[in-house]
Amino acid sequence: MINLTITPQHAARLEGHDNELYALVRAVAAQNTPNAADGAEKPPLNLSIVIDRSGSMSGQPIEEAKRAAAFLVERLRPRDRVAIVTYADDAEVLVAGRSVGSGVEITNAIRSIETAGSTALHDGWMAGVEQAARMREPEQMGRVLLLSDGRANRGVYNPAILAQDAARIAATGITTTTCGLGAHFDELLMLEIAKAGQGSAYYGERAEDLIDPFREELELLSNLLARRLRLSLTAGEGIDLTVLNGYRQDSAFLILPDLAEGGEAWAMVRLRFSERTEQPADRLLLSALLDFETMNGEPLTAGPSRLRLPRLPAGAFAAIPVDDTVTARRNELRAADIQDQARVAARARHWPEVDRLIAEAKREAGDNMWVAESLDSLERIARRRDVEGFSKEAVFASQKMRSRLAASDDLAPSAWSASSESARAAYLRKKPTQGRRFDRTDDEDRR
Amino acid sequence: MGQPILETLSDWEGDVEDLAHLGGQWCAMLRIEDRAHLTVRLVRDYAQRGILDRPRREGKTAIYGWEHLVRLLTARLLLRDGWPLQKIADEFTILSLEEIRALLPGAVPSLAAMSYSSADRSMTDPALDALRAIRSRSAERSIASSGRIDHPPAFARTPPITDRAALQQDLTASRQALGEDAGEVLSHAYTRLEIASGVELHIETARLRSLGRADAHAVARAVLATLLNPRLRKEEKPE
Repeated sequence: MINLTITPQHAARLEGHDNELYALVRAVAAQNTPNAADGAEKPPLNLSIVIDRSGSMSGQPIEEAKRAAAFLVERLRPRDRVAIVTYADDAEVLVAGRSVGSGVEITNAIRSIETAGSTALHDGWMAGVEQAARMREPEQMGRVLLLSDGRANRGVYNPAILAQDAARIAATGITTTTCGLGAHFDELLMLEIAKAGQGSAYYGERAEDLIDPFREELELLSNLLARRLRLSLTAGEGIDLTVLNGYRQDSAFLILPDLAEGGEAWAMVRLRFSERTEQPADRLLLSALLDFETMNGEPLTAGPSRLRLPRLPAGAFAAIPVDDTVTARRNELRAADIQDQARVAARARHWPEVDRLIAEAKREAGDNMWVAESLDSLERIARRRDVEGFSKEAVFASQKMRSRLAASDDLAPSAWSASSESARAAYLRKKPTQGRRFDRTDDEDRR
Repeated sequence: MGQPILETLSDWEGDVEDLAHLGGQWCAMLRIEDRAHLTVRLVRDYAQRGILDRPRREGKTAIYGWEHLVRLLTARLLLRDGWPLQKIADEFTILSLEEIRALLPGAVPSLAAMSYSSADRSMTDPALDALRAIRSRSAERSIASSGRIDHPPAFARTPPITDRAALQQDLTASRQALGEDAGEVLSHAYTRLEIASGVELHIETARLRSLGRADAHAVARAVLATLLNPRLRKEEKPE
C-alpha cells in the first residue's frame, strides 16, 4: 500500500575518500491504494474543535474563529462526528461528540460562543481529547483541533509537560493539531504540542487568515490514507547516520507525518563513511523499514528498502548527475536551520544579524523559488522590526520546510509559483507566507 | 462493569434469606417491582407451588442457587405482567432454564455474546486512561503549586468517575452520536424486531434501513448502558 524508496543525491560512492552522502527516504502511497477515490469506504472523522474564548479573542478574532469552525462543520459528512469545546477560565463542552447530521444545531451552538476570562488551554485541550475518545470507534483515529490566540495562563502551561501529554495521547490514536492566532500566542508551545501530538501546526497572522488552516486540516483529514508512520533506519557497518528533519522519535522509530493522498512523507539522512580501505562492491549503506496503520487500524509494513551504490573513482564520480529533488530538500532544510537562528536573533532584537542570516539563506536557496519567496516574506516582516510576527513566521516556515508532506509530483524547485501551488490540495501547498491566507493579496496587506 | 448482570451470579448459592434478599435487590434493579415484595415467606410459598425446585439440603439448611434466582425473578416479572401463579408454575415445568432466563431483561444470552469489548470500548478507550493519568497528575500539581494558581482548575473539582457516572456519560455520548439530545431513554412502540424469544428491538423502519455500522454500534452501546443500569431508564406512566 505504501512504496518505500531511498533516493541518493549522488548515485555512487567515491573511492579512496571519506564520503558524505545525502539520501531521501520517501514513503508514497502505491497507485492501487484502495479508498483513495472511494469516499464511502472512509471511516468517519472524529474531530474535537477546541476554541479559545478568552477575553483577548473578543471582536473580530472570535467572530473569525466561529466562522472558520462553522465552515469546517458545514463541510463534514453527515456521519462524521464532531465535538465543540470552548475554554476561558474553565473548559466547557458546548457540543458533546455527536454525528454531524445536518450540522445546523452544531453551527448554531458555535454562533452562541462569547468571550470572557483567561486562557485555560490545557483544560480545554483535555476536554477536547475526552470528547474525541468518547465519540470514536476503537479502531478509528481522533483529532483535536486546538485554537488559541494567547499564552496559556491557567492550569498546566509548562511546555515540556504539555508536549509530554500530547505524545502520550497521540500514542492512543488521538492526535492534536494546533492553530495559533495573532501576535500573542506562544508559537513554540503550540508547535511543540502539534509535533508531539502528531498533528499539524498552523497559525494565522490575522483572524481572517484562520480559514486557510481549517480548510487545509479538513482536506488533510479527508484524504488520509495511512497513519502512525514509524520509520526505522539502519546504517551499514562503519557508516555514521544522521536524520536531518528533527522528527520525534519513539524508541528506535522516527515518527513521520500521516500520509495523505498525493503526498510523500520523507526523511533526509546524511551518511558519513570511509571508502579508503577495501570495502565490498555491494556495500550496504542504508536499510529502511516503515510500519504504519491503515485508516481502519490495520497494521502494515513497507520495505525493507536498501541502498547500495557502485564505487567509482573521482573522475567518474564527478560525472554522475545530482538528484534535483534531494538537492531541493537539502536547501529547504538548510533554510529551516538559518531561519531558526534568525528567530533567536530577532528575539534578541539583533536586527543586523537577522538581515545577515536572511541574506545568507537567500544565497543558499539558489533557484529554489519557494524558499526564496518565503525568505522575502520574512524579510518584509524583519523590515517592520516586528519581533512577534517574525518569530512566528520563522517558526512555522522552518517547521514546514522540515517536515511538510511533500507533493509526490512536486515540480522542479525553480518552477515553483504561487499559481501552480494553488492547484494543489491545500495540505500539499508550499505557501510563501505560513501565517497568511493563500489568496490574501498584497493590496489587502497594505490597507 | 463488564459482565451482563445476572451472569455474574451463575454460581451463586445461599439460604432462603439470602435468596429473598438477593431476589429483592434484582427485582428492584430490573425494575420488576419494589424489593420489599420479596420475602422469605414468598420464596417458601413458590417452592411449595413448584415454581421453584426443591432446594438442596445441607443439614438443616436449605441451599438455593442460580436456577432458583432466575425462576424467582422471572416469576415476579410474569406475575407483574398479569399471569396467574398456576400458569407460571405450569409454564416453568415445560420451559428450560435458558428459556426462562431469556425472559429477563438483564440476562439475555445474545447480548452476553454480543461483542461487549468492542461495543463498549469507549468506556475503556486507551485515551481515557491516559487522560485520567494526566488529570490526576495535574490535580496534584495544582495543589502543590496552589500559591501560583488562584483557584484549582476544573479537573481538580471533577468527582472520581464511578461506574454509574461512566454509564450515564456513555449513554449521553452514545445518544448524541445517534443525533439525540442528552437525557433519559424513553420507551416508545415502533416496528418490532424479535431478536430472541422474549427479546425485542423496536426501531423506526426508515432508520433501520439506513443504519450504518457506526450507528449500529452506538445503538448497541446505548442499549447496553441502559440494560446495565436500570436507573438510566425512565418508564412512561401506565394509563
